[in-house]
Amino acid sequence: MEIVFKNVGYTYGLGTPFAFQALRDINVTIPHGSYTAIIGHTGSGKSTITQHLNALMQPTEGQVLIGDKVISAGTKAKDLKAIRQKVGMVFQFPEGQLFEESVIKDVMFGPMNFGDSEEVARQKAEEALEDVGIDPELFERSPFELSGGQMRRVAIAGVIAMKPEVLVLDEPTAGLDPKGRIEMMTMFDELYKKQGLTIVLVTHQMEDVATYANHVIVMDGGTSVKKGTPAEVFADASWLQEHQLSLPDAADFATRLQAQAGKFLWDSADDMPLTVDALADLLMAKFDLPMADAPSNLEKGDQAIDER
Amino acid sequence: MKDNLIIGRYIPGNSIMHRFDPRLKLVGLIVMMLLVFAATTVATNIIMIVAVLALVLMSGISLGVFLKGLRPMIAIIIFTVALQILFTHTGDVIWSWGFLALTTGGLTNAAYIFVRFLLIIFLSTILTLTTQPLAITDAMESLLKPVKNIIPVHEIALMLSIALRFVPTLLEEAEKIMNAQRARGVDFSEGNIVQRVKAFIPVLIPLFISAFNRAYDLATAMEARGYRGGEGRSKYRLLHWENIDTIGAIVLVILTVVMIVL
Repeated sequence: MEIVFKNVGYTYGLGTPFAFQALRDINVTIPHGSYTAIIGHTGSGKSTITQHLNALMQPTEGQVLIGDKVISAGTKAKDLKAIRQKVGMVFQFPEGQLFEESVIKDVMFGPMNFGDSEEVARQKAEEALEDVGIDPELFERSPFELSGGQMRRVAIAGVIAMKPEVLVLDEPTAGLDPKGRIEMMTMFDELYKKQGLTIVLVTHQMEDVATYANHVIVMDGGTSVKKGTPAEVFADASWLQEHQLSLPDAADFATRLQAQAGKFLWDSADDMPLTVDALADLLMAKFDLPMADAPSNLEKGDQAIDER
Repeated sequence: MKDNLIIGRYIPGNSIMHRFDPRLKLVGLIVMMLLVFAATTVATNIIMIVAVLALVLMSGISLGVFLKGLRPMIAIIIFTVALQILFTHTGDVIWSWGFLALTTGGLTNAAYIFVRFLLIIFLSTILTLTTQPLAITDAMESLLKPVKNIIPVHEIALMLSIALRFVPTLLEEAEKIMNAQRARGVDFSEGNIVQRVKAFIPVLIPLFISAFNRAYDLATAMEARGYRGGEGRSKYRLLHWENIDTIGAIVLVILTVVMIVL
C-alpha cells in the first residue's frame, strides 16, 4: 500500500494562542513494499508525520493518500477505522499500552476490535507472539510480570496481530540494550522479508538506516529536506552535519581512512561503504588483505557488538 | 484536548499582575471572591466589575483568552441562570405558565448570579494565567506557616507542587496511550454510554500503572538526593515582598472597606 503526502501541513492548537506549526509543505511518497527510514534531529516533525500515516492526525493543510483513501482536514472519523487496521503503528515505548490480564488477551485486543472472532484472534495472536519470539509458556501470564524487553515484544505483537500492510515503527529500539536492539531490528527485517510488509522506521540510529532501509526521508524544521536511497542521503557528510545528522560509523571510518590513506577507495558516492560488512569487503579488496578465519563461535549479534 | 483548556494554564509575561507576590495574589483572590458574594446592590456589583476588568487589563493578556476560558463553563452558567429566572417568585410577575413564572425579582437574581459566575471565573483565571503553579504552592506553604503544628503544611505543599508538575505530563501520557489504543482499533467517540466508558479501560489501566511506576521512581530519586522531609530544609525560591505588593495590598484593603461601607 502506497502512502503519498501532497503539500501537507499540520499546526497544533490551530486558532489558539499556543498554535505551533509542526509540519509544512510536505511532499513525499512511501512506496509500496519499501523499507523507509525517516530521520532528522529532535523536534524536526518526525513523530508528527508518522501519526499522519494512519490518520491519527489529519493534516490541517493538503492531503494524505493512504492506499485509495484521501485524508484531508475535514475527513470524518468513521471512515478511518479501516485505515488503522492496514497501517499498524508501534509508538515509542509501546510497553506503556499493555492493559489486559494476560499476554495473549492483550495481543488479541487489536484483531477483536477489528471484528475478528475470538478463535481467529487467538490464532493471529499466537502467530504474532511467535514472530516476536515470545515463549508459549508466557501466553497466560500477566503482561506486567514480564521484563521490559518482553513487554515491548508483546506490545509489538499486539500490532502485528492485526496483520497490517504497513508497519510504522517510532524508535522501536529506544532504551534497549545493544543485544536487544539488534535482535529487534533483525526481527523487523525478517518480518519485512517474510510477509512483504511496507515498513516505515523513525530512528536516530544511522547504522540501522544504512543496514536495513532502502528509502530515506530527511526531516528538518518541519519539512522534508531530502529523500532517496541511503547512499544518496549519506553521500554528502557536510550537508548531513548542517542538518544535525551524521554518517553511519562505518562510512565515517571509511571517509577518514580515505583522507589519511590519500587514495580514493571508491569511485562514486554510491559505492561508499555504509555498513560494517560493506566496509570489510572494501578493505579486503583494496588493501589486498588475506582472508582471516571468521570467529565462528559467536552469534552474529554478539559479533556486531564487539565491532562497535 | 489540552490545547483548548485555558483554566490552569500559565502564560509567561512581565505585567504588573505577573510581578505581584503570589501570596498577595492568593489572599487577594480569596478576598475578592468573598467581595463578589458580598455585592448585593447594583452599585457594589458595578464596582466589582470595574475592579476585575482593571485586573484583567493589568495582566496584559487579551480579553479573548479569558472569554475562551469561559467556554467549558457555559453549560453550567446557562443552567443556573435559567433555573433562577424560572423558579424565583418574587417581585412583579411579568409572565407565567403553570408553576413557571417570569418575575422581576427572578430576573435581577439571575443577573447577579450571572455576574458572579463571570467574575469568579475571571478572577481565578487571572491567578492561574499570571502565576506559575510552583509559586502558588510556595505561597500556600508560606501563608499556612502559622498552623504548621496542626496540619502538615510542608507535606501538603510538596504533594501539591508534585501534582501540579505532573498534570501536563499525565495529560501527554494519556493522549499517547489513547493514540496507541486508537491505532489498535479502539473508538472513543462511537457507541452508547456503556461502550464509551468501556473504551476507556485500555487507557485508564496503563495510565494508573505508569503513575505507580512514576511515583516509585520519583520517590527513589528523591531519597537518593537526600530528601528526608520538611524538617530543617532551606528554600531555593524565596518570596520577596516589594513596594508594589504593599500598594496592591492597600488598594485591596480600600476596595474591601468601600464594599463593606456601601
